[in-house]
Amino acid sequence: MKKNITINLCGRLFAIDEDAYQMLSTYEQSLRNYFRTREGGEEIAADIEARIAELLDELKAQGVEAVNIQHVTDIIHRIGKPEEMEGNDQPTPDPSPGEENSSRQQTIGNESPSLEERIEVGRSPKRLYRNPNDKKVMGVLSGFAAYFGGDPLWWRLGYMGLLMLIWVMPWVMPLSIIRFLFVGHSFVYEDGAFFNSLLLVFCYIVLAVLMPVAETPEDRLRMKGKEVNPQNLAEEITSPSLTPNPSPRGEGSGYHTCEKASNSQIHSASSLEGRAGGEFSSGCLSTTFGCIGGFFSALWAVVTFVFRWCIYAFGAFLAVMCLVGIFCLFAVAFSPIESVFSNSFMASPEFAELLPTLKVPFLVFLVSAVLVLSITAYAIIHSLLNEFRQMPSMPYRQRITLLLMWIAGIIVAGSALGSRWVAFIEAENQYSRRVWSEHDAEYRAANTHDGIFVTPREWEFLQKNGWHILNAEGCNDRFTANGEYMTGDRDVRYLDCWDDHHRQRYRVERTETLQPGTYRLTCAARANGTGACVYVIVGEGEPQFKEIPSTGNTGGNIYLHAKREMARIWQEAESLGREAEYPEDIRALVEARGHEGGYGWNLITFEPIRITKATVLRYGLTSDDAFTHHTWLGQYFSATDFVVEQL
Amino acid sequence: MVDVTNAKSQMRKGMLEYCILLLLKRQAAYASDIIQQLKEADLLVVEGTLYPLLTRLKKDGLLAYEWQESTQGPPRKYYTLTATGQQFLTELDLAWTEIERTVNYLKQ
Repeated sequence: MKKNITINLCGRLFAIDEDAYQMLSTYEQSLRNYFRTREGGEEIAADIEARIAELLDELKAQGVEAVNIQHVTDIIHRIGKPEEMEGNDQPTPDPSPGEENSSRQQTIGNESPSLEERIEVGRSPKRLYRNPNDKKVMGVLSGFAAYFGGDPLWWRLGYMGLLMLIWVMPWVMPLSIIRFLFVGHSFVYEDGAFFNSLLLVFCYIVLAVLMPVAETPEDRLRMKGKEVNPQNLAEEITSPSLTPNPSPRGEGSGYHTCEKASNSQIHSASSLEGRAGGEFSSGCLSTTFGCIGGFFSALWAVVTFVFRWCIYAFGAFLAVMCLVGIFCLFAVAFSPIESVFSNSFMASPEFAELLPTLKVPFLVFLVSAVLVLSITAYAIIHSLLNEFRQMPSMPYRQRITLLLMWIAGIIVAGSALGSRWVAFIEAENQYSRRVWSEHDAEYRAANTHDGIFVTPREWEFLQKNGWHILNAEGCNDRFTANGEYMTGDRDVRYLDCWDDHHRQRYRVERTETLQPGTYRLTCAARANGTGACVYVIVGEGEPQFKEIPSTGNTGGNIYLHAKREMARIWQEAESLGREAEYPEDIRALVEARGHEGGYGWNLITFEPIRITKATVLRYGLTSDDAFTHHTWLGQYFSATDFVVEQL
Repeated sequence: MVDVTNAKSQMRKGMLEYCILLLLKRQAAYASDIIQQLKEADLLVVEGTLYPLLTRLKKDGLLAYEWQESTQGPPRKYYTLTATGQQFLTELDLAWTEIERTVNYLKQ
């Protein structure tokens, strides 16, 4: 039941519903306001009023007793918004809005709220909506522009700019900053740009899912922050790209065709402020720059098209991944733990012992994770279907409910996983420590010779070359090394000992039985401190020591000699006017470190070693101060290429 | 995206004034008759467009109107073409012929 009043329009009486009257009078007022400032404006308004009277007359002639709000809406539609009457109007591609309105009215049944309801709901402040009337992809940025102000074009350009900026300066992006803050990772890293762009695209999708579409005139008013009153409503209703009924939820083809129609409306005619993008491309630019404008508009169309489909594809991919994730979770949940972790230490009973209560929190995690994944998948699929006009958009309340459930699910799943994760990591650590210590002990026992643990590789080298370790104190279980041989050959192994705090008392020795004669012992050695020696003992005599020059790992007389030799050869060749030819060994020594100064090797010579009767010659490398009476002050020393020659 | 509908509406808008004058040359008419005919010719999408235009043409002295009693209802404005309007229309006719010729030429 509605209150009905009688109005006098141009001297004619009409019975009209109160809400319809309200709408009509605000419409008329808006016309008067619009034309007031111009010459003859009063007359225009009066003419239009007369026209309204005519149309109402027609209704009366058709037998309409009381004019209702639908009639008024149709009339407003027919006569148009004041802005549309001027030169800058946009066409309303729907020539018979009245018919369409009524057909919609049928499809949606009694879902359409009355004006009172519309006004009632509308007292809320500005809201964030996606703008279906001016969209390039899904209307998110356009909605932002409506909410925060500014031209949608600038928002779009800003977004595209940000996407491009990422590729130039990946560290400006949140993902990099988050990584830097929480992971302590260097904030410039490979693929940063790619992941950051993905993040931006992902943000867009999340926003597109969360932000409802402004489908009803009320939504659009709220989106623009206008008060939802009859006047604004009437203006909005008569806006060309409207869908006059709120939240169309009809089933079947009726709904479908309606949406198709409104969709085409949206594409062909967007509201005035929404023309920015189009004007940018096809309007001012094309008139100013001619074909350049055409090029830009084509480019813009291609970019938005590609971008839109990227968003769709990415959304679809996410949804599929969510479904796959659900499947995997169930697969894990309903299979015995041994099969899940088969071929892994986690299947071992010892590990299961360390992690006794996996089941219950896992079930909590399972349920919440499935919830989160299904909501995500549902939301994305729903949005996609809505985007393709297969489904009405989700009501605001449902959105909020799902969002809250989603957040709760994430919190529960996260904490369940988090607590289990901590326990899991702990158990894993414990387990691996145990396993490793067992393993380690076994390994050490198998590789200990005369009380000294030597790795098999080093042991093999020492055995092959006849070296015996006489003292291994403070040697960090390492007696040989490779990688810095004088020729640059990284595979050559040599005697080597290292300790950061020069505590090592290394002594390694080799024995040769020699016939009487005069001999010479040469070797190459290096050290980065004083006190490491090469020694020789003839028979039961006193040891002779030669301290290894403290050259560290650059230079050394072997390198310097090779370098001098090279210079000499070059000079010689130069004086003869020939190309210099260097012996391969010389070249290798000079280029060992890419011309950067060798590895510090020095030639050490014991000469002459006189042997009067057949005896043993013992020689070796040591830093044992009890033996040498020198204090070792360095971190490492090496020696190799021991050669004894008869002179 | 190139908007065909928009281009069409721009064309129609340019012709609207000319068409109104043509209609009135043939026969003086009420605003509602003009609307009727323009709509039939698919030249008008929003009825309100007509009124500011009529007011302007009247102000420019191309049109005049008189109040006429209609059979059912209040008196209505009955629009006629003035002498200035006639002359203006002749010029527009020439311009139109020229446009038509150009377009035809270009279309070949």
